[in-house]
Amino acid sequence: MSWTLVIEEILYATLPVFAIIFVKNRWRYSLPACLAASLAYREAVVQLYPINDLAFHLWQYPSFLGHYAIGVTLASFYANRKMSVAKFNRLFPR
Amino acid sequence: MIAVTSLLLSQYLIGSIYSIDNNKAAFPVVLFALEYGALIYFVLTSPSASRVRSGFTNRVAISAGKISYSTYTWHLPIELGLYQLGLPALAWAAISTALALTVASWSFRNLETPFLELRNRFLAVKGWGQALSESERICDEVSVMAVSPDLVRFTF
Repeated sequence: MSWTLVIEEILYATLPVFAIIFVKNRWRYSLPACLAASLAYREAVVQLYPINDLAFHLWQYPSFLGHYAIGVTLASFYANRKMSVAKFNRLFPR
Repeated sequence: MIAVTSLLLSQYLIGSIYSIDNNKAAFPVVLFALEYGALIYFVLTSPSASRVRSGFTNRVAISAGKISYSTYTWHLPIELGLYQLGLPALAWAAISTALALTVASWSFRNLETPFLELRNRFLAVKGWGQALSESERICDEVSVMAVSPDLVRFTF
């Protein structure tokens, strides 16, 4: 039995360091790198472990690096006022 | 609408391909994260008076956002506890959802809020009140993110 609450606690412990690699425009490199690392970890787990052990290993921190990266990138955009009304949204004003 | 439709469609396709074991495959979870991220970006970059924005900033959505952490914390033990009773699937889903939301509302009001007020008093003493106000303003503005608890929890 595993629960994402444990992963969340690890996130809060590591977030200050994790956020450093997303300062300014670093997300351009950090976001794809984290997504790739997340996918690579998950693929390695699927290949290496039997089906009964997959759930535990897939619920570990590296599995969610991509999630963290997306969240931190969006938060950074928003906090730094980089989210003006996007061009595609101007097509649907109301 | 396009973002929501593509999200639902891809979840249906992933479900068709991987069935209930989709969380034991490498790709689907990361795809869902990207889609929810795109949805949040889409909503936050839509005009403040737009329908898509109001769909996430109405009273119901904001209330759901406020109790999202409590819901996230309580839903699993409630769901698993009720699962032991062997109820029909629909009854189990309905009762566990209703009970999780009820307990979460109680928990938000009687546990979470007092601790948040304690935090506010502590930070005010430390002179960090302005930073707190700014972070709360941002969190309020993006309370829309609460509709995607997994992503939100990894964001703030």
